[in-house]
Amino acid sequence: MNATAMRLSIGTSLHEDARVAAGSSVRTALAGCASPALAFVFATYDYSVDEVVETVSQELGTLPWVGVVTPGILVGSRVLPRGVAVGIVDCDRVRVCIGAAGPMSGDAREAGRRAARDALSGMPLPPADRSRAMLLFSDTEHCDAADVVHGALSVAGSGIAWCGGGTGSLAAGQCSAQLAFGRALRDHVVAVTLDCPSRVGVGIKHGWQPTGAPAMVTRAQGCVVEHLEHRPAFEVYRTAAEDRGERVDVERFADFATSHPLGIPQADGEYLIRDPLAVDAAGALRFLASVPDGALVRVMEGTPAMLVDAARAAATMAREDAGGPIGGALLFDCISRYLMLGDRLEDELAACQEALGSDVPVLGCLSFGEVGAFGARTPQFHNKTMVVLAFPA
Amino acid sequence: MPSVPGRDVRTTEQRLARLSVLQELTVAALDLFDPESPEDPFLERVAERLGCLVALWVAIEPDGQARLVGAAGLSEASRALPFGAPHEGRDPATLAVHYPELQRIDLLRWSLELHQPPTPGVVRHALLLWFDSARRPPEEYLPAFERLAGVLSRVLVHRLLTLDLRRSYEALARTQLALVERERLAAIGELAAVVAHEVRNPLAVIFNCVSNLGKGGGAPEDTSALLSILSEEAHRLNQIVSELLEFARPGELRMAADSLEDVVVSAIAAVRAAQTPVTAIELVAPTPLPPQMLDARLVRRAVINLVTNAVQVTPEGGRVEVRLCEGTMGGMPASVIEITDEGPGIPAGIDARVFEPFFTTKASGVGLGLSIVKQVAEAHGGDVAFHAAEGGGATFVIRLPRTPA
Repeated sequence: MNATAMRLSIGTSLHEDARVAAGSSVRTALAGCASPALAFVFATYDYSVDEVVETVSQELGTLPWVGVVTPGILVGSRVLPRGVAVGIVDCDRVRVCIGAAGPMSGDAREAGRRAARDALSGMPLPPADRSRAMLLFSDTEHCDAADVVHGALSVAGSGIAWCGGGTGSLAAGQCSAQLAFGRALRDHVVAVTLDCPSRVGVGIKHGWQPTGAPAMVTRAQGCVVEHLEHRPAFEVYRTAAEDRGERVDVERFADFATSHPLGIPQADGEYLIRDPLAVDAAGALRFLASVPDGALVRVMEGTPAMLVDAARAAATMAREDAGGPIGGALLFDCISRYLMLGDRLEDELAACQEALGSDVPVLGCLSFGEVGAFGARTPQFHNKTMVVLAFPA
Repeated sequence: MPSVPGRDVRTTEQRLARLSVLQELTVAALDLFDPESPEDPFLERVAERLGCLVALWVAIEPDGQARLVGAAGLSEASRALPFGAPHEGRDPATLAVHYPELQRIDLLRWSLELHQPPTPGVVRHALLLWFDSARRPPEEYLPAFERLAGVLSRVLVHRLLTLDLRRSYEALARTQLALVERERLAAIGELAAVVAHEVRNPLAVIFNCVSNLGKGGGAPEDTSALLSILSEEAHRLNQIVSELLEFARPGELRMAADSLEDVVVSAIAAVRAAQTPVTAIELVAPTPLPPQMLDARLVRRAVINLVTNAVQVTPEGGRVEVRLCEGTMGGMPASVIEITDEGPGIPAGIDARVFEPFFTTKASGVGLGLSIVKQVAEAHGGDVAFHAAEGGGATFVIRLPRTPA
C-alpha cells in the first residue's frame, strides 16, 4: 500500500450493540491502513453515544478522530439508517489539527472563531504545492450555524477548501452530538484542519429551482422570518403555494416545505437555500439558518430527478476540483433531501459514486445544513444541499 | 437572431437574481455597513452574494497611507500582516498581494473605488473584490456588475456621509458636555471665591468682637456695641446663606390670582424700610392692571432686588422710579415693571454678564440678586432686560405674560 497517496479506508457495522459496532468498524477501517492520519466516525441515534465514543477511543488509541451522531450514514451508494461507520484517512503526508468550542447558544460566531483558531494552532500555512481543507461539524439546534461559519471564516480565511455539516434531531428522544477529543459534545462546533499533499476538491449543488415571484424579507430576526412583503411570512408562502395550485395550511406545512424551500439569490444566478422548519401562531416562518432582512427570496421547487442530477453534479465538481485521481470522498447530504427522496436517496448516492469513480471509497452522513462554497469563493452555510469533499489519491 | 425560450428564461432569471442581490446589498449597506469594524457583516454579505473569495475595505488617508479597514474572507493571520505603505495614487490592490489567500489561485480583481469627489484632506475609500478568474462571469454579466458597483458605491458614500454626520453629532455632544462641565466647575469655583470673600469679612469682624469680649473688663456700652456688631454680622451671614439657598433651590412655583400692583407696593415698602439714607422711590401706575396668575412671594423678591440695586446706585437725593404698565410679549398681553435709577449706568463691557450668577460690581455682595430676578421672570414665562435710561442711569424691565386669573 502506498502511504504517500491519500486513501479513505472505511469500516461499517450494523450490529445492535454499540461497543461491538464501533469496535468492528474501527478494526475494519484500520485493517487497510498503512499510515492512518485521521478518522471520521458516524453513528446513528440508536446507539449509546458514550459507549461508541469510549470504544472508538480505545480502538484508535492516539489517532485523532472526529465525528457526529446522525440520522443516517452514507456508504458508497447505500444509506444506513442504523449503524456505525468509520472512515480513516490513510496517508503519511497528511497533517491534522482539531479544535472544538461551545456552547454555541451564547455566541455562535465566537465559538466558530475559537474552534477554527484551535484547529489552526501549530499549523503554519502549507506551501503552495499542498492544499488545506477545513471541515466543520456544527450543532444547529442551539444557534444559527451561519454565524459559526462566519466566525470560522474570519479566522481561517476563504483561500482553503471548506466543507462540513450540521447536526440536529428530527424527533424527541433523538440526541445529536459532535464527537471530538474522545468525548460526545453538545451545543458545540468541531473544526478540523487537514493539510493534504495535493489539491482537495469540493463540489456543492442542490438542484432546486426558483418558482413564482420574488418576495422581500421585510422583518427577520436570525432564523425567524416574521414578515415577507410586510405581511406575515406564512401568508405570502401560502399564496405562493396557491399560485402553484397547491393548498397549504399549518397542518400540511411540513409536507409542502420539504419540497419547497426558500432561495436567496446570488449574483451569479445560484441560490442559497433556506429550509423552512415550522410556522408559528403569528404566521412567522422558522428556518434552519438565518435569512437576512432585505433579501428578495424565492420559493424553490425540485423533483427527485433534479436532486439526483444535482448530487451527480456536486460529485463531478469535486472530482474536477481535485484535478487528479481521488482516494476517497466525504459526503454531507441534507436530511431533508432524504425526507423528500426516501429510497431514491440511493439513486443520489449512486450518481455520486458513478461521478467520483466506482472504486472510490465514499463515506458520508445525513446532515442538518451543509458547509461549502459554490466554487472558489467565500463559504456559506447551506440547507437542502449536497456537499462532496474529494481527497486526492 | 430568433429568441430561444429556455435561454430567455435563464437570462431573465439571472437578471432577476442580480437585481435581488443589488436590493439586498443596498439594504445591508444602509443597515450593517460599519467602516470601523474589522469583521464587517456587510462585507461578509457582499462576498457571499457576489461570490468573491475576498472582499477588502480600504481607506486611503490624505497622506497617501492605505489602511485596511475591514475584510471578509481574509484569514486572521493575513489580517495581522502589515498593510498600508504610502499609496500616492497607486492601485491599493497592489498593497494586498502579499496575502496568501490572493496568491493561491489565479484571481480576478474587481476594484470598486467609491465615487467620492477628490477633496484634499479627505479619506478616500475603495472596496476591493477578488474573484476566481476561472469562474470569471461571462461578458454580458459584467455590465450588470458595473451597474451594481455604481449603485453600491452611491449607497456606501451615503452611508459614509451618514456615519460622518453621526460622528460629528457625537463629537458635538461630547464637546457640549465638556463645556457644560467646565462651566459648572467654573461656576463652582466662582461661587467658592465669592462665598469665601463674603463670609470671611463678617467672620473676621465676629472673631475680633468675640476676642474683645473674651478679654472682659470693658465698659458696658462697649460690650453692647460689640454685641450689636456681632448681631449685624451674623445677620449679614444669614442673608448670604439665604440668597444662596434661594438661588440654588428656588422652590416650587405657587401661582395664584393676585394684584401685581399690590405685590410691587409691598416690595417698595420693604426697601424703603431697610434703606438709609432715604432715596425717593416713586411708583407710577398709569392704568390699573387686572389681577393675574403669579407667585407673589417670588415676584416681590425680584422687585425688591431690583429696587434695592437702584437705590444703592442712585446718588443721595436722587430718585428711583418704578413704573407699572401694560405691554406685550410674543404678541400676547403682558404686565411690565420698569425700574429706573439715576446711577452711573452699566458699562458696555459688562452688560452681557449682569444676569450671570456670582457676577457683581459691588464691593460686597454675592452677585446673585439679578440672577434671581432672571430666574423668577423666566419661571413665570417672562423675561428681564435692561437699557440705558434717558439722561443717564439704567432701566430694568420685567415682563410677565398675563395669564387671566
